[in-house]
Amino acid sequence: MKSKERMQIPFTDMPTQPPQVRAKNFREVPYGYSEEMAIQEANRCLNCKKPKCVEGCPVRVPIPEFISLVQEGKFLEAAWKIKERNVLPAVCGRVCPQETQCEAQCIRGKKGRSVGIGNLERFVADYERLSGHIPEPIRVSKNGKKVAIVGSGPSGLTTAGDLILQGYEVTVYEAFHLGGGVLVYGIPEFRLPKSVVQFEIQNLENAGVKFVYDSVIGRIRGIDELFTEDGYDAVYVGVGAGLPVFMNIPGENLQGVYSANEYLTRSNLMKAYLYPEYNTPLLTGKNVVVVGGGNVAMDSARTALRLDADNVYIVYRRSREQMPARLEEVHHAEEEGIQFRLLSNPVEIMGDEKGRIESIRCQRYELGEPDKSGRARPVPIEGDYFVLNSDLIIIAIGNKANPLITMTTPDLEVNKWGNIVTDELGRTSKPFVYAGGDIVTGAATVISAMGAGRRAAMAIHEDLFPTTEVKTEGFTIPKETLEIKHAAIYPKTVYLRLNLINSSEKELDQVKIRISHVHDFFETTMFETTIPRWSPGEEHEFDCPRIDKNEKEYLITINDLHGKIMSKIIVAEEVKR
Amino acid sequence: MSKWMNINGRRVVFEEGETVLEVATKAGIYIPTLCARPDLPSFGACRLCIIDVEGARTYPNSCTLPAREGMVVRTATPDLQAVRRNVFQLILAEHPSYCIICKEHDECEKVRHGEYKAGRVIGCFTCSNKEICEIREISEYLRIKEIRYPMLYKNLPLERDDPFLVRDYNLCILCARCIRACQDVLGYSAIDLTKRGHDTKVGTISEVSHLESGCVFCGHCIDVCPTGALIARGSTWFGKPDKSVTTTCNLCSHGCQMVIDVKWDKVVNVHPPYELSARREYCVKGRFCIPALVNGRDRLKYPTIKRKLIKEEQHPVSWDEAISYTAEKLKSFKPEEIGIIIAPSLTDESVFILSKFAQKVSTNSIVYDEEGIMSLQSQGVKAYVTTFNSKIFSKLEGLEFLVLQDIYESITSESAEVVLPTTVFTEEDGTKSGEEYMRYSINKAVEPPGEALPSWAIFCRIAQSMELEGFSYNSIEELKDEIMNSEPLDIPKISKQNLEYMGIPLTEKVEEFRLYITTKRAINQSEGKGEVDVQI
Amino acid sequence: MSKFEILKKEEFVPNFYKLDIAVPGIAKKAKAGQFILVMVDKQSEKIPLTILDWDEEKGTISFIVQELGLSTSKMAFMEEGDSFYSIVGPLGEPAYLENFGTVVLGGGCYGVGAVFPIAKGLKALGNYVITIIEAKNENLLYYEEEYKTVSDEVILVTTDGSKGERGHIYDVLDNMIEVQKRKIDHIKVIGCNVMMSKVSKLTKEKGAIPTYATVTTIMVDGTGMCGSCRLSYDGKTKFACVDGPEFDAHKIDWDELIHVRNTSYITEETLGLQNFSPECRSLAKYQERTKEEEAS
Repeated sequence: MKSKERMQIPFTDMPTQPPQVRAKNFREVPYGYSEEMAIQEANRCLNCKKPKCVEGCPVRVPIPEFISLVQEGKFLEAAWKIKERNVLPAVCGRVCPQETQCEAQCIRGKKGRSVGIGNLERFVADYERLSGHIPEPIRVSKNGKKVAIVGSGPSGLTTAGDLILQGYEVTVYEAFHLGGGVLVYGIPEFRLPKSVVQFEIQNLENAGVKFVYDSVIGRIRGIDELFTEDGYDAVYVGVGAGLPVFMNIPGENLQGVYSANEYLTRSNLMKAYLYPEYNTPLLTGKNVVVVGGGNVAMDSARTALRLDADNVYIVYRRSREQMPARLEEVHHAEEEGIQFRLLSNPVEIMGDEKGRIESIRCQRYELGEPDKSGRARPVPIEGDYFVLNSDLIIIAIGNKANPLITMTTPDLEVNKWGNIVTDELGRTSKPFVYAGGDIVTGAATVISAMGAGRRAAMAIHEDLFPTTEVKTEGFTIPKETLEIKHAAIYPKTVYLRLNLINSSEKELDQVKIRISHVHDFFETTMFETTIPRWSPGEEHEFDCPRIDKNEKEYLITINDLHGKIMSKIIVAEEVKR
Repeated sequence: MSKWMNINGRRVVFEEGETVLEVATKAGIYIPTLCARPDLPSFGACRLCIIDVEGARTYPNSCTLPAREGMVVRTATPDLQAVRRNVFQLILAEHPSYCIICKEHDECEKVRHGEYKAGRVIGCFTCSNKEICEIREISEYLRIKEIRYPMLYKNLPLERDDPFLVRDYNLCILCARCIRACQDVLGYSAIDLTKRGHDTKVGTISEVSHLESGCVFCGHCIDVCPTGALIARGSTWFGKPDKSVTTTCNLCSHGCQMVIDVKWDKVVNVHPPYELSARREYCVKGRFCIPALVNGRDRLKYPTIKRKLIKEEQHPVSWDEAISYTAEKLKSFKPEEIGIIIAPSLTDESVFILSKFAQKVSTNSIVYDEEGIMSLQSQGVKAYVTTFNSKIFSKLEGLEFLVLQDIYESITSESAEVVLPTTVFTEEDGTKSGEEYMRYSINKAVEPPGEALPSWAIFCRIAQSMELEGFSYNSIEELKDEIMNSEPLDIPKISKQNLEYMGIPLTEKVEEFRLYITTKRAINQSEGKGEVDVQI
Repeated sequence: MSKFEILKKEEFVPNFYKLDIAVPGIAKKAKAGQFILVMVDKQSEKIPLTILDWDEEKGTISFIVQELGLSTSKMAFMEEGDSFYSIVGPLGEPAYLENFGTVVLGGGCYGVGAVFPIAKGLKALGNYVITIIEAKNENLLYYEEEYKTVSDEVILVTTDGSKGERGHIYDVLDNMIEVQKRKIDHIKVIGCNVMMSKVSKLTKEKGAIPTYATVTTIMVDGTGMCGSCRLSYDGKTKFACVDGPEFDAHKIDWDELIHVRNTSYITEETLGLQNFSPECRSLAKYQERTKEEEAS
């Protein structure tokens, strides 16, 4: 087919449930493409020589390649092509904001509609799932390293998917009884069917990822214990931002006020919308007020509508243009009949004598000067209030970082909002602990969390198989006694982990460790410590900050209690060729 | 000549054979009692209905004492009340009644909005009969503030191994109402007083399960129990219903009148009307299976049309789309290619509309039966519109178009091209022709789920969409008038043994009923009755 | 021993069951005052239950559950050898334990069991432990003998006076403070929120004796994610699942907790029970019996 012909094919809309019909059921809103539709849409792709779309994708899916396979009708092959880079295609096809990523870069978007990359990704992933043809997972030889992943949300699943392909032994710890994190408890069935998520998790399991459910890390196990007791070599923390923010206005604890987290968790994860077949109850309301303007607010509002509400209002402080929700979601919500009360903010919730809410009082706002984020700041209008009768209120004004992990791991550096501080690849202040997703960035999107997961996987691989050379010299005691478990130079630190081999017969007393760097025969000590008593089998970690990034070589000296040098280790950054 | 007696200084008329209690009740004079009931033979167990008869040396029970001409009776003298209080305290001592005498009674009511809903009853606050308890009524009447006797908790296990019934005999006061209902009124003997003396309790003979004891699960024992000792699983803990609607059961053509208790717009209980006359034996289906049938979560709520994208699936659509799609499709078939199947469980109104519709669009309309459908198939019928769900539709050859009207998802609904949700008889108004040309009224008790519509309304809309005349009614009354002035219809009958409702076997939808059937069959077989089906 | 298997189940007073469950991970980590979240089956809701006891060696934990609703009813229908679908824990902060001196512990209802590990812990720290256990009636009192092993004094109290004192925990406490003039350094109570609020009110009036209460709230995830368990504490919003469940009783807004937060789902619960038809055991029993008859 010639480019000219391709240019003439119009965009293929996905068949979608009509708004009035879908507002009353939990079925997915779009039905998805049929085979013919998919091929037609794929034929719109011009197969650019320099595909811009890939640049727009945080996980670099080989977009033109998979689309060509769709053009040929090779749907399964197309799905496998995507899976080379993205372990969650069915999820991403549904929840990624493609309009600001791959599709925003598409050349066809300059004149008319971009190629429906998201729609096609979703189609091939669904095709694979419904076809029952599941490829044998690629078995890679194990590299001998174990990684624990805390949280099975989008970032954790991505990290797991990447690491398993590199030969790591990967275990994912999940606090709930089902995996998927926000994909399962947060995003409603009508936006992302849970069977899709479970299928993707099943695929990871088939590939060898181990899932441990019902395990709250920070309670049943600390991060340190994952290293010392379970013998993990690295830990990735992707626990999300699970601490609901409330408004601190009077009446907020009345019956019928939910955090969006609770409302959605009850409905999605615990399947309260199938009550009483599932036993978790959920209050339903005829007049529902949702506070907030993000995707979570839209999800809550649309869930409430499907649970037989007559009126659902979105109350949001700023204007429509400033809503953080995806345009498509706002549009869907509006079509279904959600009513927007913009530039308003609740000030008080009123209840009856039984403690049930009756109404909510809001103040009107207007737009003022731009604030630091560049958005016009909403300013309350003095004395301008209105009251909405309401029997259910859902607060969806965001999430803060859940402190459960950081509180129980004091040496993990956090910022003033409680988010874990990391470098660009997800390295935290604690050696071999990585973090990514909402616990680092604050509440954000699924795909950005997946991107963070991917970067952390890279960092883990870099750190566990560093390009650092280790030389040892001058051991005065048998070499088998002290074992170098790990020695490496990282951008900010020099790291050393030593083990006194179990078969050693006696303990060592007063062992002195010194890390220094040598320059023009001058040795500058950067770090010095003494281990009073070192028993066989015990490991000690040493972590010394680097001052000058240009230093490529460090000398580690180990003295015994008499000051006699036991060993000298040179750690050098390997020169990359 | 009517006869007269004197109660509390009032002249009261009575008829020969009436007991004093009956006379007093008729005259609106309250005498407390826990064992007497108008629909049961007198027994004289509780000794609360004692009265002061002029000239008598003791206080006789008014429930067993026949009224006599010129009798002078007092029902509430201080002496009588003192004796009553004493008698009643003895009853309370063997019934978990600490809540009745608790000092924090009022405050507790405020705090505990009925959050205890399971297990053995250990006080009024955990009792399902709390809001409808005869014991509490009497203790309020007698102003009981303390119990002078040591309280005895019998510590009997909760009997909840039978379907439908839960029995907590720790609450039983041995009034024997249940036994009289079972033996004297209905002529069964599933239960009796077992053991002797202090250990006396109600139970089955030789302590077998109710399933084996010959119990037919009519539920009358529950209806007469003054305490919370006998409760119907699934219909309990609701307290006072929001409303009760009298209607006719439509599971078969027997025409049993029933009261449907509604709370929070859900059917929560089904029982016979209180009056003695209406009291006839209920079947286990009607007594226990209706709430589960009506309230099933997987009820069809919205119309769907089957479409194929990656795979074939039912897609929810609006009524307008479903109706016009069906109408268009039907128009493309010749009348002899269309078959219309009438379910026996429809109301007269729906049968009338369906017959009228069939006359206009098809030459084949039949009341559901398997052979009938096979013969339609051999006559070359290609399109079926059915109000009865049957597995036979998925086996038909040459089937081109299937419209199914149903209440639940099923194998048939998966294969049908159009599925239309309809109502159950508790969700619509109408008429039911029963056996012996009796006509009963069906009254709406609850709203249908989602957008489900009664059959007659659905087919009026399809007919209108096909531009057929005579299907526009402003109300069901208009339709009823037209039926009255029309030729009598041949209304299909459902035998009492039929276990299906609109093609849905009850055993599929009511878990406990399934158990009931399997167990009864197992028992029959072990008794050498072979593969006999259970009489329901 | 499969995952979350019930090793032992016992109904020691009406509606109160003690269950021993195999969960080695939790048994290893549990501390007095912590709780678990339990799902009976895949359809079940998550309900919080205080850990009663644990055995690290055997890898078991025990808890007491009172049958009073749908989920607990399901538990009552479970038998030894059955397994739970999900158990998460140990959750919550451990109870605040140190050598206070004389400590009064109050347990009512399910709290009679829940106080046990705390009593054990306090006793081990050298406190003089007085335990008061309350029930409606003699037949609902339990754990008297067990408490004697971990307390210096055990006081029984029943609503109807059928055993021990007549009244409630706060009546006994009032008597101890006002009449007996005993010096109490610390009080901990577990039971229904009404009882705890009354104890709190009493001890606040009588010279603000430090009083800690373990609140019962509705929970979903137990990790601070949903806010279902929030309560007003000292003018701030706290989450019982991560900040508690033990709080300084004097700072809790009891009215809100009792009348507002905990009464949300009464209607739903009742409707849920309508659909609960446990596998009735009649058939199984009947088959068992016919087999026995055939054998003999």
